Amino acid sequence: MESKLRELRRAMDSTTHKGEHFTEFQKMNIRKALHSDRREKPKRPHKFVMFAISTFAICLLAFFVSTEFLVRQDQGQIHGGTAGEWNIRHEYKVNQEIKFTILPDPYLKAGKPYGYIFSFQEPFNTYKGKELSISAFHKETGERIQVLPQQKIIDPSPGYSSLQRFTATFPLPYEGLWKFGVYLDGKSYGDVVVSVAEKAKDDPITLPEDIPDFVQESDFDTIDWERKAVEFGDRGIIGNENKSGVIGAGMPSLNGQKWMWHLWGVEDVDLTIVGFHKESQTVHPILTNGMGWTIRAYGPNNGADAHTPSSVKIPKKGEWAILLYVDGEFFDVLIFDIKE
Amino acid sequence: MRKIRDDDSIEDREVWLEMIMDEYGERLTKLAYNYVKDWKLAEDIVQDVFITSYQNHEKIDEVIFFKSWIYRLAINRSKDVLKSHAFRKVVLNSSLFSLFSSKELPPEKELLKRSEEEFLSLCVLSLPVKYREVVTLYYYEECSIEEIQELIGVNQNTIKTRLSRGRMKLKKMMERRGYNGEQA
Repeated sequence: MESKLRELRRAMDSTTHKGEHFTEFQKMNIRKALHSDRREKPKRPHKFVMFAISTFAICLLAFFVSTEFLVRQDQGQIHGGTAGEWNIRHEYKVNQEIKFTILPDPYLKAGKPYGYIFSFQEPFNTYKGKELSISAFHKETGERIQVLPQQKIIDPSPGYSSLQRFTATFPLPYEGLWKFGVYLDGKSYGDVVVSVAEKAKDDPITLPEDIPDFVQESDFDTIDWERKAVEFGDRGIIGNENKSGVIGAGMPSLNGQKWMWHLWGVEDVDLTIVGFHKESQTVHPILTNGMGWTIRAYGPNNGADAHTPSSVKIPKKGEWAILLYVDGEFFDVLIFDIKE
Repeated sequence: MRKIRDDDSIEDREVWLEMIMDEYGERLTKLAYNYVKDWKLAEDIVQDVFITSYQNHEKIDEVIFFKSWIYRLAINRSKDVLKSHAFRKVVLNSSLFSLFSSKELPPEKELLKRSEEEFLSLCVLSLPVKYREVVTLYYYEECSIEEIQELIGVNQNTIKTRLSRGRMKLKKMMERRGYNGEQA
C-alpha cells in the first residue's frame, strides 16, 4: 500500500485530478469579483458618511425649526397674544409671568377723563431712568392716540419698591375696545385691552387732544342735520352750492377714498376738516396719509375758486357732519350719510 | 518564503494577487476537490479563498508562512461546504458521489478497464473525510505530520492513527475488488 500511496500524487494527477482546473477563465472571474467588490468598498464608508451627514442635517433642521417656533411664540407673548388679539385683558404676561396689570375705573366711559392704575411687577431697575409712554389703539377705527406722553421714571411709586402703583388720567374719545400699549424708551413693553362704555348722552363732546384750538365744542351745536349735501354743477360735486363741495363723497369711503375738496369765495387757504359722527357724538379726523386735520386748498378747478385733492377714511358708517374751517375760521358744514 | 509587501497600494496588491494565483491556484483547487469532490464547488471555494486573501492583504504580513495560511483557509472553506445544508442536499444525491461511496463501486468489469492508478485514486476519494484528509495531505500534498497538524489542528498522534487506519481501509477496498494489496 505504502508504495502505491507514495505514488498517489502521480496517480491522481493522471487520473481523477487530470487536467487544468484553475484556468485563466477562473482567474478572470476572481479579478472581476474583486473589482466589483472594490467599487463597493469605497461606497461602504460613503454610505455611513451619508447617513451620518443626513442625520446631522435633519437634527440641524429640526433645531432651527423649533427655535423658529419658539421665537414666534415669544413674539406672540411679547405682544400679548399678537396684534390681532382683542379680548379684554387687564394683565400682560410673558411666559406665564405677569409683567403688569391695569385697573380701569369701573364706570369707564368715552368722552370723559378717567384714572387708570397700572401695577408694574418687575423690579424697579427695569423701569428706572427710562421714558415711559402709553398709546391707545381703538379697535373699530384703528386710530392711535398717545394718552400718556413720555415720562421719565425716577422714583418708584410712593410706599412701594417698584412701580406697583402707577397712575395715569386721560379721556378716550369713543366707546369700544381699546388696546393700551406701554412703551419704555420707545420700545414696546406690553399691552392690555379695556372696554370703554358709550358716552353718556348729556356729556359734553370730547375733542381730540391734537385738534386745532380754533375748533370749539360749541361749533358742533350749530350743526343743522337737515341741510344735507346735494349734488350740483356739472362735475358731480356734492355739497352746498357756491360754498363747499366734494367730488368722491358718493363713493365707498369707509375703507378709504379720494375726495377732492372745492371751496367758493376763497383762493389760497388752510382748510381744516373735522368729522363728527352723529350717533356716537364723537369727533374724528378723516384725512389719511398723515395729513392730520388741515390741508392747503388753492387754485380754481371745476368751477370752484379753490380746491385740493386728498385721501380720506370715514371711521364708521352713519350720518356725518364734516366741519370745514378756512384759515382757522369756521367756514361750512357738509352733511353726508356714509353707508359704505 | 515569499516576502510579503509592506505597503498596501492597489497596484502592489494586484501584482501580488497574480503571483499567488499562479502559484497556488491549481493546487488549491485540487485540494478543495479532495474534500468536496466536485470541481465546480472546488473552483468556487478557491475563488473565495483568493478574494479573502486579497482583502486581507495587509494582515498577511503578520502570517509567517503564507502557504500554511492559504492552505488552512482553503481546507476550512472546503469543510464548511461539506457541512453546509446545500451540499448535503445536492451533491449527496448525485450519481457521481455515489460512484465514490465506499459501499458502491462500479462492477468489476468496468474496474478492470480502468488503470490501477485510477482505481487507487477513486478509492482514496471514497474514504471518509477524516481519513481521506490525512491521506491526501500526506501522500498527495506531501506534507509532514507536523505540517498536517498545523493545517488541520489535530495532534500528531491522531494524524498518525488516522493515516494507518486509512491505509488499512484502502487495502481492504482494493483487495475486495481484486487487486493485490501489498502489506500496508
